[in-house]
Amino acid sequence: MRIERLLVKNYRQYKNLDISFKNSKANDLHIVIGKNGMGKTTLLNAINWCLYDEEPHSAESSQKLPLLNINSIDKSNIHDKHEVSVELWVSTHDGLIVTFKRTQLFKIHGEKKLPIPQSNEFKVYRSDENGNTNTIEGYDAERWAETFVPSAIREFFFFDGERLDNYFKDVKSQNVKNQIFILSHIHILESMEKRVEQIFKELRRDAGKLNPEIDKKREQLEFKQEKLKKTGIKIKEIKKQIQLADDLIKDYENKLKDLPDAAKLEKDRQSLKLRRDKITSLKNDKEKERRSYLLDQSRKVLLWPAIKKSLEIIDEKKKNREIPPTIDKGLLERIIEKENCDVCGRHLDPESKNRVEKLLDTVKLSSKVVGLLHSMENPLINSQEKLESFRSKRKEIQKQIKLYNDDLQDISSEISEIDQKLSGYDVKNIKTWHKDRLLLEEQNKDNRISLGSANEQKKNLELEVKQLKDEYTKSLGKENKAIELKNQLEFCEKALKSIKMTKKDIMNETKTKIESETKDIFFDLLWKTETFKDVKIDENYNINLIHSKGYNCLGSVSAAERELLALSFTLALHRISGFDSPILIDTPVARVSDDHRENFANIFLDVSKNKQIILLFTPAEYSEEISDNLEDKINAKYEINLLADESEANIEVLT
Amino acid sequence: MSLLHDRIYIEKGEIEEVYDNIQLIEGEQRKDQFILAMAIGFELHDRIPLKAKQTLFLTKYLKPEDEALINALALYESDDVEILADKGEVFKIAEEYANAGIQFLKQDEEQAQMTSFNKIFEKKIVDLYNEIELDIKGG
Repeated sequence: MRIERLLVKNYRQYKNLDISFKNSKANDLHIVIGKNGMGKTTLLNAINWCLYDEEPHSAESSQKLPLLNINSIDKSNIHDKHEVSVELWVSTHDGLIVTFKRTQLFKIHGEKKLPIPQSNEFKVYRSDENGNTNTIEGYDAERWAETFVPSAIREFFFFDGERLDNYFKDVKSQNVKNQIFILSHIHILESMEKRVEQIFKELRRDAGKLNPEIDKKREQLEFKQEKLKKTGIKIKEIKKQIQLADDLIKDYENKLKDLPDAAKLEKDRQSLKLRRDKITSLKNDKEKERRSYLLDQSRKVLLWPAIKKSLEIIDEKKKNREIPPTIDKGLLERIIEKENCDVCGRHLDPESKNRVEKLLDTVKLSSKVVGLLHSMENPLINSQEKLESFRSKRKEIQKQIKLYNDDLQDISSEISEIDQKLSGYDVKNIKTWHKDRLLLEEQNKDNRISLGSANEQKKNLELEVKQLKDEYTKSLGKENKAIELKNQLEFCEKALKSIKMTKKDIMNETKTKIESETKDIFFDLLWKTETFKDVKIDENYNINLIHSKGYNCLGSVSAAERELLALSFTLALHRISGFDSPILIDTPVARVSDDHRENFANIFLDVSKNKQIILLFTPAEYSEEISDNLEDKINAKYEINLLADESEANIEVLT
Repeated sequence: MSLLHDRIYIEKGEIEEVYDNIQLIEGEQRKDQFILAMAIGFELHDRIPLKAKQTLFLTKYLKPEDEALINALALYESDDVEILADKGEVFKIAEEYANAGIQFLKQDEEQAQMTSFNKIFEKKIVDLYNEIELDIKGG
């Protein structure tokens, strides 16, 4: 199926639009270019509105504006009526033209000219090759729209490229799963399951009415079965939470894989800084010691000649036995003066006085001088000894300072290395990721404990249910009237089991097919050959991209690669679902860098060989990388323009 | 004015400020600053008599090793041990050498940058030590 024509009347900024998507080339590719705010997304919404009466891509601000074209409102008189309509012409493989047309009537009300919605009508016109047309209305018309693109999976046909980058975050896996249930018709099996379960319960109740004992057993059985069911749901929920946490942990691990362990590095950095401060303080003390030692020794070095000479004098005096003093010069002087001996108290006769005077002549140094010389000796010898070790001591201090300097240099290098590792990264984010990862790991630990206990509970309940079932069957057996019911119950039970098995098989098969198709398409379209090795889809339809080294790398791939994976998944869904409807993408390469735009241009060309693709670009998006590759291959290029007063948009065919 | 021998004098006026401002000896005790200035003056063979005096510190703060150095200088200068008995003369010699030494330090430090002056001073001491090392060690 392909869109042949789109007619829009009075719908928002489109007063009267008629655009044909003719296909005359190998690639069924069509380009619409329009600046932001000119009406590209309005086209996407117009199609959605026409088919489903919804505008899923509207910004909040535009939702407040009336659906009816503003110019039409302005030119209206009170009570005027206007019709908003969108027509979508679709061709089918068997040569039919199916026209979907939605019409909304508005009546202009009051002085403020408020457009009040009146009737909303949806019709489908089916025309064959001979021009015979029949009109389909109401529920049947809606069914036709569902045949074209089922509303439940329309996100996989008409989508916004801005969202593709965040596709795996925005499209909840549960939604994908539900939509795939619809595609695989699993929902029919689910309805069957519910119905059979209902019949089964009714039969049991009927059986219970036969005998109070049977009824009691039934109640017990149903109570336990309900409990078992709840436990099963609980287990599923825990598993889901574990899976979710695992995915997030993987995501953080991918983000952090090549990034430094910021928290640890920060800690190391702090401890290095503390060590640096400590060593700097020790070094400063050593520098002070060095300065003080130098000044102390410099006095002695400079005064060395005086020290040396003094020591020589002292030495000489010692040799002459003048030091230490044997006779006190002052004492002799006092004896002569008093003519009386201070030692023995005897009066000094002339002869004795003469002898003392002669003795005084031999004592040349006063005891004061001798005392002073004597007191100088030790400090001066001490100074000399200190000077002797000046070279070695100075060297030792210098060596210690050098060691401190070396240490400081090493620490500075380590700090620089850490700084270099941390530079260029958003440290705050890295810290948050680390913290979140730890929290999730902790949460998973708790969840795994809960899962273990729930599994145990389930096992016990299954045993109890089995026992109760046996007892129940036994009770039924005692009652002749219940034999028929028993047979019916057994049949229902088998049917239920069979439905559940079939459901499981189909789900697995569908998942495997989608996984395999997604993988084939992704690797077929991918410009890299060695980086990735697999695409995996789990039972909840979480998509994982496996790096060649074996880890899940979806969180760390480029926006372009993520978009390609989303596109591949969408195309896989198209193939599996059997819906051969066109794809319409608004801003298809908005999140793709220039480097990969050429790759995407080639991908669009490739896909458009078998499927109609309508791409709505902004002029900036339709860059050389895109246009150089697409220009010759596209069927038509359109440009959206606004009127001078910006109240209306129209589309011009460029090529 | 009779001089007291319980204190060390310097030239009256700006010299005390010079003692405060020379970074090489910053933070050192006054007596240590004085002895270094005295030693420098001695090494320069330069004595500058004090015209007017003011107290720099009291001699009670001198330790035996400080007094030994001051006495040794006086002994070297006078070549007479009896000078030791004349405290006034011993301190006078020390003060005059210190007066010359401190002025030299001021001049040299002003001419050089602080860090390089410290290095120059250290080198000078090491060079001088190299010359006298054998002598010190009794070689």
